[in-house]
Amino acid sequence: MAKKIVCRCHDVTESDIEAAIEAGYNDLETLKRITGVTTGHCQGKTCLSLTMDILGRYKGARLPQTTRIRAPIDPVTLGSLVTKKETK
Amino acid sequence: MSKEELNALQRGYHRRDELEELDVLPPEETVKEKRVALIECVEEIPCNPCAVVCRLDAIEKDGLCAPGTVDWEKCSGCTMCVAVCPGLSIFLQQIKDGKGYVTMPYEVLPAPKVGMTVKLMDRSGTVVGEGKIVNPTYQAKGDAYPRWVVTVEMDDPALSYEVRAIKIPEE
Amino acid sequence: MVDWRIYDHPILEFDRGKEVTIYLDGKPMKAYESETVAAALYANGLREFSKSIKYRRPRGFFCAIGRCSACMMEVDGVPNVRTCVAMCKEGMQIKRQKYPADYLNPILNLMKLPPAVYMRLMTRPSFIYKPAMTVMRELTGLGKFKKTLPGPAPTTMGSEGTLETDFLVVGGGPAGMQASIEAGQRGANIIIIDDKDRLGGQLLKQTHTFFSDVKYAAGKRGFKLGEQMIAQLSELPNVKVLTETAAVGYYPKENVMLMKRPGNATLKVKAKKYLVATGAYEKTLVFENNDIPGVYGAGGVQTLLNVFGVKPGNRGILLGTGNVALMVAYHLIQAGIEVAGVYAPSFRRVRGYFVHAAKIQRHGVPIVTRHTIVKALGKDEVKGAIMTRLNPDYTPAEGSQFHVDCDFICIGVGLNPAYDLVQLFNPQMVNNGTLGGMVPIRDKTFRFAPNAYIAGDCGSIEEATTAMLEGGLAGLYVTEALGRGDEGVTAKIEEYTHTLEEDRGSPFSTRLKAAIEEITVEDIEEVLN
Repeated sequence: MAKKIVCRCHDVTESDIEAAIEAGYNDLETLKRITGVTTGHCQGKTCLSLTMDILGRYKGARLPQTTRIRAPIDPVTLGSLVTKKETK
Repeated sequence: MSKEELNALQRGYHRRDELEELDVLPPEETVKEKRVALIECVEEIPCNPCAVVCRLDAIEKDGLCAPGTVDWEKCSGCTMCVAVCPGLSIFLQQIKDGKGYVTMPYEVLPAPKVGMTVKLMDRSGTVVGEGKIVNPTYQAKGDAYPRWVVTVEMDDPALSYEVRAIKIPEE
Repeated sequence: MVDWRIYDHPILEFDRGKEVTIYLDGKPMKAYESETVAAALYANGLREFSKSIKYRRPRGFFCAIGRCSACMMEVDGVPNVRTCVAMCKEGMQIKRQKYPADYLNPILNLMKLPPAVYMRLMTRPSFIYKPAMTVMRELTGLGKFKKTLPGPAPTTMGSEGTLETDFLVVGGGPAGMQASIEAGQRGANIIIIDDKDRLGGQLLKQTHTFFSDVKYAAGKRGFKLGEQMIAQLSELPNVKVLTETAAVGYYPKENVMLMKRPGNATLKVKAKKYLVATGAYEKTLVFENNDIPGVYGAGGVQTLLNVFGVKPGNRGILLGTGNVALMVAYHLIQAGIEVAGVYAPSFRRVRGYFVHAAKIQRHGVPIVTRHTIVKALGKDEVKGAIMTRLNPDYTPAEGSQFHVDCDFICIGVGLNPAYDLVQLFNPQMVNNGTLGGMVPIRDKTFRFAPNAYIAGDCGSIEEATTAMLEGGLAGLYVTEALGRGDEGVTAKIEEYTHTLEEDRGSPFSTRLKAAIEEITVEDIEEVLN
C-alpha cells in the first residue's frame, strides 16, 4: 500500500502518527516532538488540521489546540533580525 | 443506487419533470405565444441581480434569498436577466413556426457566431441533437462582460424544454 | 518548446508584461515579468519542484500562494525560496535543491523509516553528533547555505525604522481592503500590507460573477471588484499601501508589529488599532500516494489558471463538491481543459450551490457523489486515480473501485482559517468545525483582542462577499474606536449589518450563523481578563 502522507515537509505518514498515539504520545505537544509533525517548513499549515483529526478520532472529541505559535511566522533571514552593535 | 434514483441535489442536475413540479418551466401555450424567461435556480441563496435588472418587474423575489419567479404575462423576453445571472441559470424559451428556440448564457471558447451549427446538450451534458445559432446573440456589456448571450434554433420544439448548453465544434 | 500558457481565454486577457529569460539548472526558459518563478517554470513543463526530506519523494506545488512550502528552490544563490511568490527577473538563476540521497529514492520509498529519524540517528556519543549531522544534511535536507548569501547585505532589525499610524491592516484581500476604504474615507491614517506584489487577495483569481446584493458585489466579477477597490484605495492619500510586505511577528508588550520588506529589510509599525485579515490555508486529504506532482489544491490551480494563465494539465479530476471545487471545475472548462469528474463522499447532496453544479454538469462534467479517492497513480507525476464508491457508513463498497485517467487532481475540501498572527495577540481560541477550524472568540465589534479586530476567512470561512461586508464593518467600528464616529458611521454600520444578515438568511448559512453566535461575546475585554 502506498504511503499516506500527513506531514509533507517531514514525511510523516498516517501510520507513523497512529503508531505514536498508540504508544502513548496522545497529546499534540508530545506527538509533535516524537514525530516531527507540524515542525517543518510550512509549520503545520497543511498538516495541523489533519493531525488534530487523527488525534480527535482517538480521543473522541474536537481538540481545541494548535501548536504554540511564536514569531517569526514568515521565513526571514537571520541577518534581518539582529541589531547592529554600536561601536564607539 | 443509480444516478436516476438520486434526487436533483445529489445528482447535480434536474430532470424536466422535477422542474415542472416546481413550476419553473413555462407551459407550451406560453412559449408558443412569445419568448419568455425561465429561472432554473431553485435554492435559497443570497442573490438579486435578476429582479433588479428586469425593467418590467416581471421577476419576483420574496427577499434576498428567495428564488426568483417569472410572471410570464409581464415578461417580454428581452434577455437582460439571462446576461446578468451569476449562476448562469436563467434561460429564454420560444416555440415558433414549429421550431424550438433556447437563449442561454455562454462563457467558453470558441466565441459563438450567428449561423454556426452546434451540438445541443441537455442538463445532464448528454448530446441530444444539432442546432443553429440565431439572433439574438450578442456579447453582454457592463459587469457581465464578456459573457455571450446565445440563441439556438432546433428542429424539434420539444427539445427546447431540455437543451441548456451547446458545444461549438472546433475548426 | 513546451509552453503550457493560455493565450485565448473567454473572460481574461493576460497582460504578462515584458518577456525575460530565467535559467533553470543552467537551461534558459521563457518567462514574463508579471509571472512568479513557479508559474513560469510550470509553463515550461517543470512539474517536480523539490523533494521531501526523508523519502526524497518528488513534490510539485500545492497552494501557489506562498504557504505550503512545497515549491522551494534555490533562487540566485538563496536557498529555500518559495518560488510561487518570487517574481521573475531577467537572468535569474534557479536551481533544484539536489542531494545524494535523491538517487536512493526508489529504495527509500519501499522502506518504512521512523519519523524524524534523520534528527535522531547517531546523536550519542557527543563527539559523533556534529560529523554525523553534516553527513545527514548532505544526504537529506533542504537547501545549502553559503558562508555569505548573495544579495543585499543583512540589515539591522527594524532597518526601515518605525512607523506610527492609527490603523494597521494586515491582509489586502476583500476584508482588509474594504476596512481600509471605510476607515480611510473618514480620515484615519492607515497602513495596509500584503505579502504578494499586488493587493486583491483571492479576488484576483475569481473570474465568475458574484452573488449577494447588487448594491455591493452581485453581478460583478471578482477580479473587477478587486480592481475597483484597489483604485478606491489609491485615491485616499491617508492610506499607505505596502506590498511584498509580510507580517513576521507581533509583540504585545511593546505594541509593535514587525514585518519583512523586500531586500531583507524589516519595518516596525506601532498602531492604535490592528485588523488581522490574513485569510485561510487550503486543506488537503490523506489518501495513498497523496503528495506527488499533480496533486494540487483547488485554489492553487485557480491561481495558476486565472492569475498567470498557465494550464495545470490536460485532464483533471476534482475532489470535493463545495463551491470552490465546483467553481474551479468551471474555470477549467473555460480554459479548455477536460474535467473527468467531480467526486465527493457526501450522501445528502452536492455541498455547494446547486447552480454551480448544474452549470458544469450541462457541459458534460459528471458530478459523482458518494465516492472518494483511494489512490493517486504515478511515481513522478499523476497518471490517474483509483476511486471507490462508499457505503452509507462511509466504508469503501466492495468491488466498486474504478480507474480514472487524469494528469492532475485538485483537492477542494475546505479551508483552515489562518491562526498564526491571530495567536500572537493572546486571544482565546476555539476549534469550531463549522467555521473551518481554529478561530478566536470575538465580540460584536469584531474585536478579538483589546486593540485588534478580525474579518473575513481569518475569523470564519465563508465567501468573498461576506468578507467584504465584515471588513467594512470592522473598518467602521475602528473609526468609532478612534473617536471619529458620527451619525453617518452608525447608519452605515446598520446598513452593513442588515445586508450581512440578509446574506446569511439562506439555509446554507444556518449552521454558520449559529456557530458565529457561539463565538461572539458582548465585550472581548471581559473574556480575556
